[in-house]
Amino acid sequence: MAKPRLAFLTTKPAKWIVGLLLAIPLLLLLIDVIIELVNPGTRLGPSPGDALVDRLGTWSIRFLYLTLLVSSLARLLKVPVLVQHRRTCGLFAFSYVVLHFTAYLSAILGFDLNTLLGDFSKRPYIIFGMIALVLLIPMAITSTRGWRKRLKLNWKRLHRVIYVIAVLALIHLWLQERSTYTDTVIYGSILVLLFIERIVHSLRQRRTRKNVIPSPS
Amino acid sequence: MVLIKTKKEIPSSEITPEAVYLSRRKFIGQSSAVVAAGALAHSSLALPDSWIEDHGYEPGEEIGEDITPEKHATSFNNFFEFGTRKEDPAAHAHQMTVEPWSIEIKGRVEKPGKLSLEDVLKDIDLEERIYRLRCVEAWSMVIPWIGFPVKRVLDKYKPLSDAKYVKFTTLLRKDEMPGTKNLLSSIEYPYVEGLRLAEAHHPLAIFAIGMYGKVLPNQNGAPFRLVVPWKYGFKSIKSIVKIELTKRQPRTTWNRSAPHEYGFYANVNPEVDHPRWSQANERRLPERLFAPKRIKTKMFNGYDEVASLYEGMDLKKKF
Ligand code: HEM
Repeated sequence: MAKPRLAFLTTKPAKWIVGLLLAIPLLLLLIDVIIELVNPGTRLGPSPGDALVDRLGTWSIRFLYLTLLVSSLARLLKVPVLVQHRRTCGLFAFSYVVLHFTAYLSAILGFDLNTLLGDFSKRPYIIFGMIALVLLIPMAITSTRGWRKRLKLNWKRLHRVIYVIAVLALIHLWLQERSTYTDTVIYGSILVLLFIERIVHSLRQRRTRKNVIPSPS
Repeated sequence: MVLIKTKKEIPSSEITPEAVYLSRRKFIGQSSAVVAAGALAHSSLALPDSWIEDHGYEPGEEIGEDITPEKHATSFNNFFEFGTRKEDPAAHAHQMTVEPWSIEIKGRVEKPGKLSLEDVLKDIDLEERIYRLRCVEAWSMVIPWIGFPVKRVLDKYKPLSDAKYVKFTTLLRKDEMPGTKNLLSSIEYPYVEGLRLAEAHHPLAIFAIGMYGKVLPNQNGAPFRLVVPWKYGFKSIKSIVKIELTKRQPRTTWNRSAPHEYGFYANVNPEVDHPRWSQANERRLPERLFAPKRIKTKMFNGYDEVASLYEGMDLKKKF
């Protein structure tokens, strides 16, 4: 049965509204950044670079996992149109990661390239983060409808890299844990649930396919 | 920063609440209560010079580096008993009861016992020490502590000749320390730190009871903490309830949780990196956003006078 009210979700205004909602954390952070710049030490504490990198990192992983959640929700709630907003989520995730990296480069390293190179080669958590960032680039570039059409089946394959990125992000977080594994366990559990949903979904699909076309044996 | 600036006498009504709090605990006996008040006054408050001279309390020697503003030193802390984020200790440490406070002194000492903080501090003069504090997370601050050499306290309880190490233990009171209830914690409580006795005897190693001219705030390790400025900050254990002299090297908290990351010695050493942080540089806090103050980290955090403690040791192995 058609769900007429949900038709709104596919419209242009809906895309704008979703985009604005997803931009709220960024706007709030921007306000803090501006206040911090005008009035040092009032919003981001004595180590504002760290605070900024942490907040952007937190939103990076949230948006990354939210992007994965959109497909699951579309299936679980049987609202396929939700998938139309997956790209917006994904692009926000990418933007947060880029900003997270930029903040690290500018506000923590002060563009000190020696330390940057040292970090790249010696700090496993940075290496995992970097690989995740690099892998996100082709995904962001090919996220348009045009690329999707051009790549056909390969688009799906390429965009499965998101699972690798999700795991890399989790490792990046895990390697930073010090006195407790709380964050890793929380995000890890979410990721496991997202994976389970996909496995169940693909098993089900395989079964229905089998029912339609009985196997020859 | 000069702690005591003017010479006019203050009426008792002007003594800070901290001072009232401290003298209420009859901190260090009648005569030195005055010193305590001195230690606790805000830097804007005046105290007569004679009070200071009588009790050996003097403003700390300036070190030519800017002192970190108090609001930052008291709101950006690692005190995992109260949570993992830097702002958690300032938000939750008020739950910790610090009065009354007793400290157990045991192990290889002639005179073990359980003492009130007042007893431990009896006859001890306070002094201000302006020290760099270098965190293993590659940031640093400059803090004016008020305290006294560790040796002054240890000597009173007479370590036996076979005592080689000092083990310190932090308070563990789960209902007052939300961070200790975390089921996924990778470190064990109570928090334990330790020093070789020779390190504890070094004149730079102090017990602190105050900072910024006032009694320690809970998030900074009230009422009684260690400060060893040539080691990473996690060695400077907070809110101490037990001091134990031992023959063997104590198993310290961070060292137990990740021995390849946190050594027992944990001397500030720009040549030994932590897996997550290069130790060659540090960022001096507070910073302005997008203008990190990166400075070169010095061996022993610049306290070269401790080098003789480690003569003949390979500090890359004994990190
Ligand atoms: C998909 C990519 C990435 C995700 C999802 C991600 C996520 C995160 C998260 C969740 C945190 C912890 C925040 C907290 O402690 O509250 C974090 C911290 C951090 N990340 Fe990333 N990150 C990514 C890529 C990168 C990259 C490319 C770099 C740099 C080359 C980087 C550098 C850092 C640093 C320096 C920290 C903070 C360390 C500290 O606070 O001392 N990350 N990141």
